[in-house]
Amino acid sequence: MAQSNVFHLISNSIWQWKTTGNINNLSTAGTTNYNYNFTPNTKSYSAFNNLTVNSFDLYYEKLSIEPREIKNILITTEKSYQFLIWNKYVINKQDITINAIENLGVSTEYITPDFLNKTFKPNEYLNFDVVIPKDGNVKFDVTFIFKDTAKGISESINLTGLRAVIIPIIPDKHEEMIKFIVFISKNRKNQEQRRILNDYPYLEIKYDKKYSYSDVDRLLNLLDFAEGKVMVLPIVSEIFEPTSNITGFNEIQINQDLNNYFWIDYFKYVFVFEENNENKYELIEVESYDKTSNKIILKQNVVNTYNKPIISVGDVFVKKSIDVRTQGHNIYNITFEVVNYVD
Amino acid sequence: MLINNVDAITTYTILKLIPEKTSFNFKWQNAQSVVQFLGSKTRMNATSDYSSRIYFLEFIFTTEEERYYLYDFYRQQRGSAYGFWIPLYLNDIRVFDHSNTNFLEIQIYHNNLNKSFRGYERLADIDFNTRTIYIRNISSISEIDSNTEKITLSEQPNRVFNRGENLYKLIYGRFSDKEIVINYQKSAKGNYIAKATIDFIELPYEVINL
Repeated sequence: MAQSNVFHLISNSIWQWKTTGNINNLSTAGTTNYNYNFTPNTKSYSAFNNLTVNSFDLYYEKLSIEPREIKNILITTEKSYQFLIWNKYVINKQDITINAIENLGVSTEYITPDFLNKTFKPNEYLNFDVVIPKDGNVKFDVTFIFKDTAKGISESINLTGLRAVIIPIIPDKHEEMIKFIVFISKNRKNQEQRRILNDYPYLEIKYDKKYSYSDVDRLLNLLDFAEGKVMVLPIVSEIFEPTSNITGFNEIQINQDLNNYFWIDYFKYVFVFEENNENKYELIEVESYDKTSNKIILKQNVVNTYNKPIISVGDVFVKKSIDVRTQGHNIYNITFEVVNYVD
Repeated sequence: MLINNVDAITTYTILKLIPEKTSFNFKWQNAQSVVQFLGSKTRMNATSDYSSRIYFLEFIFTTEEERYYLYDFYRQQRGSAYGFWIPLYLNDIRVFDHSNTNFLEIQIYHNNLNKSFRGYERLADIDFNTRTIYIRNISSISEIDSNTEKITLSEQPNRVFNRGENLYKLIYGRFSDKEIVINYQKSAKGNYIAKATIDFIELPYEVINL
């Protein structure tokens, strides 16, 4: 008996660790985290009363909705994510009826299909979508709780992320300011003590570009619309040239040496432009960078065809200031400053 | 241009990026002193031995490798948190005489170096063809006559230097500002030219423990 007690305790402590998709703290490229719940259901009859653990008790005897959590979503248009709800009471068979769906963050009308008051028989499952609308708060944190109030069973799912505006712009002139926050104090003898307050490199960019009268309003209205939102911008100091056609592929071979690029360790997206045409672009999330063979692996295929594609890293920024100056007849110089958004 | 190899007896964390030699600016940060006003008299007490010199160096990045080196070096030093060695590419140390018989002693043209020497600077010889820097520790600098001075090394130099050759000094410092700013401008060809003016401040008290 004592032996099985110990085994039960060990298995509890192991399986309460929730797995995530992102392990390396410094490398945030291509992270969309999915959380899966391996917590054993200690309320199940066989686990609690018998004090023995078999594989059923770890994975079954519960209502399961997977994935539990989706993080780092970037909303520029409406997006939907698929979930799976599964009645896993296969030994102590019981029906589950979802008779209440609570929401913390967004209305339940964004869950489709509507399975309120639907009864799930043992081992019955169903796929459903959750749609995040385009408009709303900049930072969203949505939790849905699915309950069977009669049996006292509930499970929840959580989605977090940002709403952003994409601003595709290749400037004439720009400044990059990189900063680590270090606190420095001095005594009267000029001796210093220095402390690093944040280990993350902050980036501030100042972009300058000339526009004609007909084009400047288009950008200014977009920047107006970005008020209260975060912006996704390309970092044009880190540009890649592909060696071959990229349309329809998600692996891009580039001419440059990826070891000479700094911000790829921190930024999650790439912009794909056509040369001299900023209106034709795509924003794609990066899966990983292969620094040995100089390849960029994207999460989705490139859709458009480009004559001479330019690829640059991009990430989410917060607007600091915008300055517009006339430079003569029908020429406007726009300078805008941004600082990168770090959660 | 980047220095590839460092030849030294002890290990040095050194900025390997060579700045533009045409522009060189620096200033002294005030030595700390306390001034007391005592009625009709004033008294000034110096409370620190050294003032820290701040150097403004300009860099032009010709390759992606150089630009990445600066970003990566700045990340390794966590901004202005840690100190490192900075070679100064002035023309103030010119060799007058150096021979095999007195291998540790190098005679240089007089430049008041014996007065400005603080005891911790290092001497470097740079081979721009192989991009190697040879760093040696200085034991003392003394005046011989009105035209020449003598540098005595505590470590064997790499070679015999000829008259008229330039040697360089290394100081120990950190990034002075809270951030570094890199300017990018589009050239006529369409690619970007990157420039930066970066300030470095000396850390005279920390080098004693090295």
